[in-house]
Amino acid sequence: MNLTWHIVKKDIRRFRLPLALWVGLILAQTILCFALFRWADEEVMVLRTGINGLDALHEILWGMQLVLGFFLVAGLVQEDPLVGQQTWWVTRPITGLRLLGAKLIAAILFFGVLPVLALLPWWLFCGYGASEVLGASLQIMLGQAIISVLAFAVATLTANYSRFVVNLLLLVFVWICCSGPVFAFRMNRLSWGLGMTRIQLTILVAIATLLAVIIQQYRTRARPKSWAILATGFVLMLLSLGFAPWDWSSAIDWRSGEPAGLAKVVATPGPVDLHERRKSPYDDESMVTMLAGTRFEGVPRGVAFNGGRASGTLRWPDGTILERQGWTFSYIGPVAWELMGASVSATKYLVDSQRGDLSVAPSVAADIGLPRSYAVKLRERAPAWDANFKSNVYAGEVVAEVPLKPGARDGRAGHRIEVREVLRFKARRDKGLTLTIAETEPVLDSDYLPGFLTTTSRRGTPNTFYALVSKDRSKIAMVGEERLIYTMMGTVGIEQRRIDFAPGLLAYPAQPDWLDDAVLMKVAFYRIGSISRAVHTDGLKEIESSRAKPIPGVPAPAPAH
Amino acid sequence: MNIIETHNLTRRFGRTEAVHELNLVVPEGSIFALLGPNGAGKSTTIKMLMNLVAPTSGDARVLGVDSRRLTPREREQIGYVSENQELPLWMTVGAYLDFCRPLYPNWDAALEKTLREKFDLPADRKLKHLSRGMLMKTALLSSLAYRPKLLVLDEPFSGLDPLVRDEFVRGLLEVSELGGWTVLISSHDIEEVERLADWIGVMDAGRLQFAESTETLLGRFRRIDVTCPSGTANLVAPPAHWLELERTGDLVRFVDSRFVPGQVERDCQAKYPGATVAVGPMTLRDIFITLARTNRKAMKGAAA
Repeated sequence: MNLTWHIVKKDIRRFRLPLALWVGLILAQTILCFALFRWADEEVMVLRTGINGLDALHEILWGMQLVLGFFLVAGLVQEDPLVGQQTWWVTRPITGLRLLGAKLIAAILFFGVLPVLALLPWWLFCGYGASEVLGASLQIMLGQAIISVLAFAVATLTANYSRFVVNLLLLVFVWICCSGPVFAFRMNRLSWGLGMTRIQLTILVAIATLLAVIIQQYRTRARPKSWAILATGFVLMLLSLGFAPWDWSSAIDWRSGEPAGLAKVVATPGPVDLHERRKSPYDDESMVTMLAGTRFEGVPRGVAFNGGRASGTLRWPDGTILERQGWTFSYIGPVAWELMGASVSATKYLVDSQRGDLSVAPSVAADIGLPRSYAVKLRERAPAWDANFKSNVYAGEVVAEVPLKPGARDGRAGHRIEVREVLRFKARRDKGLTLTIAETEPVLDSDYLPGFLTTTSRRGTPNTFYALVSKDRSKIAMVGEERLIYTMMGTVGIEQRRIDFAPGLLAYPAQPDWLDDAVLMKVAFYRIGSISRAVHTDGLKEIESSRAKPIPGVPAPAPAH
Repeated sequence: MNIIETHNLTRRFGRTEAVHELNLVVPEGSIFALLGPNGAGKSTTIKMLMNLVAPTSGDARVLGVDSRRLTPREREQIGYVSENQELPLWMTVGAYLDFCRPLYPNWDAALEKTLREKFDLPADRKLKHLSRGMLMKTALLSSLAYRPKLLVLDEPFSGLDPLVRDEFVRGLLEVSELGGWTVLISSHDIEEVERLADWIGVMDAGRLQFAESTETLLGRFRRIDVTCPSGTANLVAPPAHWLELERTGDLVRFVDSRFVPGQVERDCQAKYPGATVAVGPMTLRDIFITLARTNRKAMKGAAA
């Protein structure tokens, strides 16, 4: 081990200048994080211009860091090259595996530990605890490792920078040429899970191949064999991308099952809401949207449902059967808000999908496309409805709570809020309250391993919501929000938002008494699993509010009795 | 015991056979000079011995171990200096020696100090700023300070000016007096090696022509001048060991590669009755050139 460290120290001495530049680039980005968070201006346009400038600078620094990182990896490997007939270290008492160990330690120090140390002040500022710091560090290291392993492998096969660049570009070019047709002809119209699985499998094969090349080169320095391994891996990557039949998206998701405590949850079908489907190039205009609501009872406090899939069968007495599938969604309902101590009376069923009304949940709705002729049939006679609703389950926690005063700040677990500006309006036609806040949010960066981090990490990226809560917690109002700027740095999203309390929309008084003592509360809902329930009704009904809407080609329903 | 042994060691680069079925033995304690013109296969042989290049076929044993499986334990006993070796040129001489020191448990700090003074090496100068001679001395120092059992020098004199070359050889001679090691030195410059070597191996076109002790080699080669009676000199069919046979007027000259005192005179008298035979010694350089020429001629003949 001493000899390994001896080699590591030599490499650190060798690359002290590029390393200083490397650290400088990371520190500059860390400073930018603070600057982006602190940047303030009353004029939104000026604010956006300033932030965009800093963001562009961040992109430039990140690009420089990427290029420097590639060359630093290549330099680290080629300092003791594995190619050539006059390699110094081969004639000394240093084994290939010891050298590999030294290079890996140096790479972890350069590309893992240094970036983490440089980002640590920023994370602590954002309120990261030990577990969050550990998670973010692993995330940073994983991202760096995926970039580094490619550069590392190519560097083991080349003797100098020019060869390194040529080989790297050649590999990328060949990959683009070969994978392009596979993407075009074999990745079309796949399910999300299968497509994601193929991409993930391809990335895993690529990493395994590159690691095999690295180990092979350090063990034997036999370049023809290493190129053969690379070529084999290349073919396997193409096969994985184009032909892998498996869908492991559920298998690698540790939260795919039903969380404990939901056994008593019962689902009952609600009415449906028919309306014209919004025109978009992605939708079939012959379809009518059927929003099918389902009420979930017995849901524990602090739990919410959102996102998932529903499949169902409509059966008419004349024997007509229609099987359909759709996406499920929901609002964060009052049951979930109860974790904050707020009591809000809830009505029983989904009423309106378009408005952020607190009264609509805890229902889950499925957005199901219905052929126009079947919509006509549904209005003529209520069919029987057998469906299975599957929805993601979220647990909420309050992550920040700030009084409505400029300069107020709070936050934990990476969610930091600072109130910048508070504007109050008296007139009902105006928004009752407008807040400008700066905030941070932890983000799972999934650029390099699409889907992996969000599905395999313990907490995932949360859905966040804001509410105004009275001091005694008896009153709560959801608020609308507008993101003014957003950028992502070092596993943290930095944003500035304008939050509007819109009394007209939510039928609250323009200036309710309790607003003087209200706090802005941010709740983060983390996915903890999924729930699946079957529902049945003999007569699927349309809700009253839906019946008044005209749908071209679908006659208005008969008046309800 | 032999420090190095090769068995049918062969290396091809594409269609070119750099080394052909080489069977070489380097006895322990010897200073073995591997000689040959450029492209003879000396450096490739040494690279195979050092596991810098993998053999195409055959095998080599260094310190009793297959050259492809040399472990750090063997490496600690081998010093290697080459004209083209990639040294960490960004290091100073001092930093380079500091880096080498922990790699060798047997590093002799006193010997390092002695050699550093003897070679007059500036500790704070970067290797890339050293002259070629200084660089080779630094490489030599870093390969001697741990008292290796085997020292391998691949074309160490190449590119050195005569003065530095002389210093280098003298340094080597002084060090060799410390004893206890075997030296394998490859060179196409026989004059420098002549002072050092007690064993000579000659390679040409990838093949080992011969390998024997300097003493026996010098003993068996003689320059023979035969002065024939007027008008009787002719190039009769010579025995195979008479090399570079030529005639100038009444003078017939050749090199006897199997010289036995008295025998050559008798053979000459049989072929050139009444001739006067003069026998002269040869230097290693002359022997080397004679063999190279003869070999080339034979190869051309075979090719034709």
